[in-house]
Amino acid sequence: MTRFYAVALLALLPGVAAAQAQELKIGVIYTVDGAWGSYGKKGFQGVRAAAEDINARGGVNGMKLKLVEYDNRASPGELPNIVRQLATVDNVLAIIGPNTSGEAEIVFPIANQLKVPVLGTSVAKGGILTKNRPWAFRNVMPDDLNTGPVIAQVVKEKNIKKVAVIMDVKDPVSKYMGSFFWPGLFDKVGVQNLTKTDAVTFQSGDPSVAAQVSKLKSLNPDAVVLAASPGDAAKIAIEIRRQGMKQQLLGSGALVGDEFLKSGGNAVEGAITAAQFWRENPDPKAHAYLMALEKRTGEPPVLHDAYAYDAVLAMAEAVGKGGVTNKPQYLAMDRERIRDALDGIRVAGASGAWSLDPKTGEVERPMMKALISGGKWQLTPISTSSQ
Amino acid sequence: MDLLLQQLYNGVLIGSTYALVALGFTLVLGTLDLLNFAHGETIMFSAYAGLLALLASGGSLPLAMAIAVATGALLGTAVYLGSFRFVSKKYWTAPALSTVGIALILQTGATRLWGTEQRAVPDPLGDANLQLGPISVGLSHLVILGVTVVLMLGLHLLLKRTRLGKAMRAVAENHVTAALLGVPVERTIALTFLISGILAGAAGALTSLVYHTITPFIGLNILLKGMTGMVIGGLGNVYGAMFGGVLVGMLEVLAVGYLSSSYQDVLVFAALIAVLMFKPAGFFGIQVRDRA
Repeated sequence: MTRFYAVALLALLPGVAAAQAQELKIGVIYTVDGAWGSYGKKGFQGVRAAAEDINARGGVNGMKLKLVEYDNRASPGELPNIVRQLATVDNVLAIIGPNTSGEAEIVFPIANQLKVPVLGTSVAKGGILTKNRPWAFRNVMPDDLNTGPVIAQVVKEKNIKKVAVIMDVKDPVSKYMGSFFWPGLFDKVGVQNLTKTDAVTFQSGDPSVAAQVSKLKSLNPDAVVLAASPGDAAKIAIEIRRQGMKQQLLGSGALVGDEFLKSGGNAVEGAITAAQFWRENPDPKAHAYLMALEKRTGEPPVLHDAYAYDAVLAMAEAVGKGGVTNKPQYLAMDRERIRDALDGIRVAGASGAWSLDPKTGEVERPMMKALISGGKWQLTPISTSSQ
Repeated sequence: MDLLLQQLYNGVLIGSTYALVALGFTLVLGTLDLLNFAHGETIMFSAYAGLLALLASGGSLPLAMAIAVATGALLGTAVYLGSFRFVSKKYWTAPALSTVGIALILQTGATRLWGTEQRAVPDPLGDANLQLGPISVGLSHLVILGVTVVLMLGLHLLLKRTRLGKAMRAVAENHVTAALLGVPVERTIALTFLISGILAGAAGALTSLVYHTITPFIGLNILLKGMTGMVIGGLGNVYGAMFGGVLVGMLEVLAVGYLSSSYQDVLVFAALIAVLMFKPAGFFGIQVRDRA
């Protein structure tokens, strides 16, 4: 009898191996730790939900998606090994992630060198794709393309003449925004930047920001610009109100989400940022995806799970459109096919309709102004003609 | 000038919480020559316990303080049992290293229980401010400063006017002689950890109000600042800890206000090095003696 089972098992093994070979392996790198950990938590939720949904519909060309997930635990030092592991040991077809632009500056060049398509979902630093083409893409709009036009319109509407910027010098994205993006934007629109030569800085993880806020108060700006992660930005906003400052708060699209809203409470009421993700999108297809995502995660979707969900949709579309064989001996060719299919791809997903520019790899999607009013984000699309 | 006054006030406020941290730390060091590396994480864990009580009670600050202090006392006792009472004294590093282990357990436990994101700490007294000349003083700040002063005075009275205080000072001088003179050494040490835990609990509740948010990673930073305050003030000296804590807060705030946030740790630790070089016993320190 034992021999019977052994023989039966041996007979089944090739079938098992064949089934495994039919899995389309997509690598995922996020982290649920650190200042930007909330992005990664939502990112993982988004990719898992999309893979389950696609597999429930029968997969892609009869093959199921398999996510190979890594959490780099907010440690950039682990990223080179993770990318190489995904590319050369796990043999994934493509990679989705990582969490932040600082991490993408490590992941993208290695993926580009190893010729693996990589699609970032929450890496918003301007210019990050330029050096990492043709294999790097992102479906999040960079801050300079999204935040610039929106805030330029806001300062005009609100008659803001002078601003003060507070930035996190430990976080690469916030430092880039505070040092280059915001000063450049305010120069362009003719707004006086009171912190241009004497920057007001903090470091993520600093327990108190009272001293920085006192310095901001002494400058008496019309608006304070927060170049910080959502949690730190909320902490600064609370201290700003506690010290009696009533000034307008401005920020980039990085602040849009529940963390800034919930942590900031009353202090962030009236804050304005740019936005590109619209939870209340009236488009029926996006609405259906978002409802399904909310049902699955038990939480209202935010940019990070919606974009991660859409990244998997894009990969599935690229696999189908590109005619991927999914045979180990054709892995390099399959990766090229996915890369070519991602160039100019059009997706109608949880975050609405978007496409990737075939030249730059950057996403094209509508821009919005986000205002916190009544404890909620209220989004208003802006016309690109106002730029 | 207005900005300077406001910054000095900010420094006193932050420094007073560092002073509480340094006090709890120095009590154990003074009594046992033991560096309790779990002190920072005890503060962090107590801060979370206080926050949960604050949220559950709909904003009761006294209840939040009581729960934070009780948690600190419990953890202080646990540190005594886990890294001193049942740990071999044969190797002098063993108790200190085991406090590192407890610190890691507490931090990992907090990340598992409450996640790694920043949690907002609502101010039960709201945004109400008093304007004292150029200085903006929050109502909650008055509570923080008041509680800190009361705790410092209480500790002073405990050490100077009670039998327990006398026993603690005797044990700090020499364990063997204290035991020969009838001082219950083991009980005194246990109570020292308990009091240190109570101070950590109070520091946890108060720092979370000053910082507006907490994460499971605030413990190490608080511990380092408290330790620095303690060394600057004088190892094992409670009055030195009070002075050193406030000085560290001032230096931090002045660095941020007039230099850059990147220099705040540079300034604080440069002051530490300067004190160690030119006044190694600290401002209130006494001659270091060999123990029997």
